[in-house]
Amino acid sequence: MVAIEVRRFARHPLFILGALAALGVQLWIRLANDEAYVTDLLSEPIIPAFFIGVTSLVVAARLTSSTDVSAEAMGAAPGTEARRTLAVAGASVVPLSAGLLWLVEFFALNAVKGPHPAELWFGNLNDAYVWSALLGLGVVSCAGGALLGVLVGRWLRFPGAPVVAVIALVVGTMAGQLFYAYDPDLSKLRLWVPWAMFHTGTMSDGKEFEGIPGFAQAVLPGNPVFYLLYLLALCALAVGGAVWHDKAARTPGLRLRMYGVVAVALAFLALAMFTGIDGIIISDPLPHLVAD
Amino acid sequence: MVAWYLRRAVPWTALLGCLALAAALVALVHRWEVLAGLVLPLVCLLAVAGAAFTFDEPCVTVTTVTPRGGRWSTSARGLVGLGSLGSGVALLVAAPGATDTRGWALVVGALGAVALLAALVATRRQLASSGAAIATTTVLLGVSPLVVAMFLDLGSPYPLPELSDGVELLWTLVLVGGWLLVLVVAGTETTISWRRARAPRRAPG
Repeated sequence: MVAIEVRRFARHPLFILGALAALGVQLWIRLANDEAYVTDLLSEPIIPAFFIGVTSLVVAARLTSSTDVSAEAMGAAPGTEARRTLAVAGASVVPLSAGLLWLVEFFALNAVKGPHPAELWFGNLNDAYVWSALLGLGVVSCAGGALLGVLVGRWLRFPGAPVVAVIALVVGTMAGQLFYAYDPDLSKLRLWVPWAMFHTGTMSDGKEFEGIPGFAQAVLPGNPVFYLLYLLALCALAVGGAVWHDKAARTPGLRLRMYGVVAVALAFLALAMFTGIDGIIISDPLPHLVAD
Repeated sequence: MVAWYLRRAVPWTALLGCLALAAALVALVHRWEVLAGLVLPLVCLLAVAGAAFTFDEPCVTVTTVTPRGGRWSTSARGLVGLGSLGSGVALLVAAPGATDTRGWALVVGALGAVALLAALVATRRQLASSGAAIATTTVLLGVSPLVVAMFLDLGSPYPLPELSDGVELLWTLVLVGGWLLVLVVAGTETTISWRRARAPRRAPG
């Protein structure tokens, strides 16, 4: 059943367009860069997160609810609703693979033109933090979007539910962190959102912003390694929540596992907030931008 | 008769849900005006998404051949679509940070024309309930420029704070061309098919 859903997911036109857009926009950004170096590398995972992750949310929601029209026939089929839910959830391996493909492209393009020496990247940051930020924000978010789509498809049955989910996700993620992301004391609290920024981007207009000087960039507090684990726990919660829709699957075992995953997610969130990078790390101004 | 028909035919839950979410976002901007750059395009897109549901008809193959015909139902439903777009413009005018009212009306009108055209073509192709797909595509395509603009020095397609001359011309062309096509498609009763109809085969012998 998983293989069938994987094929349906991979052939969905919206997913194909989203994946091609992610790869195309990444290439476009590099082709448009006429500087000697590339910058803002840790900001770029938002590209697969949006183009693959958000489109996968819509695709997964549609695939999950697509069997509703034949609910009576499906009720007589040997597989339960929980099994069908798990099958669509298993298809999230497709956006995950697309996210990994983006990562390969990302490193290939970096090999052609490398980052500035002052870039907050490998060498200036802990390697584990860089890898975790790339995997969490760029790759896991692709699968996370699909799993959130499965949850939406199971619980929200009105037409246009994916639209509402996309808007709520975008606004919730941005409004949930922007107000206090740059406050050194409160910045770590932003990590509850499913896509928390770590890199601020370079202040390329030369103006100081929230204490970050012009032409400099910053990495915000928190522990990207535990944040990655928190995201994986959120993915597990989305699957559990979607399976929970099937009343026959609400066994004491599933309930216990759900409580366990909630506890683990909260523990990882606390560790992401209170360990790792303690204050805002600000880079030196990037000289090639200053020269412009 | 029109009101009786619209009350039963239009998927009000989806349409009003989009508008209610748009109103909630405007309320959010009233509280935190700093969010205007992100939220106002979403309000615009939600109004267009709501309009995309206007022509949804689960039994399109049946209703196409009713005595009143497709033209009557299309014009009746079109009023609802215009109402959704008008509500979107009204919400944007009421939102703090939307200084270029004319620009927002232009964007809503142009995007609305494209969405309604897509919905109409889908109806004429006998596709039932295409609104969700069109609404979702509209929102995804509409948010994409906000993401790309983080990395590339591109002009915003939204009036934040106002439209550039080139972008305004582009939206105007889309608006005029889009609504002309909407009128053409709405005025026709025929079913649109991409495939050429095959000539009936003769029985062998």
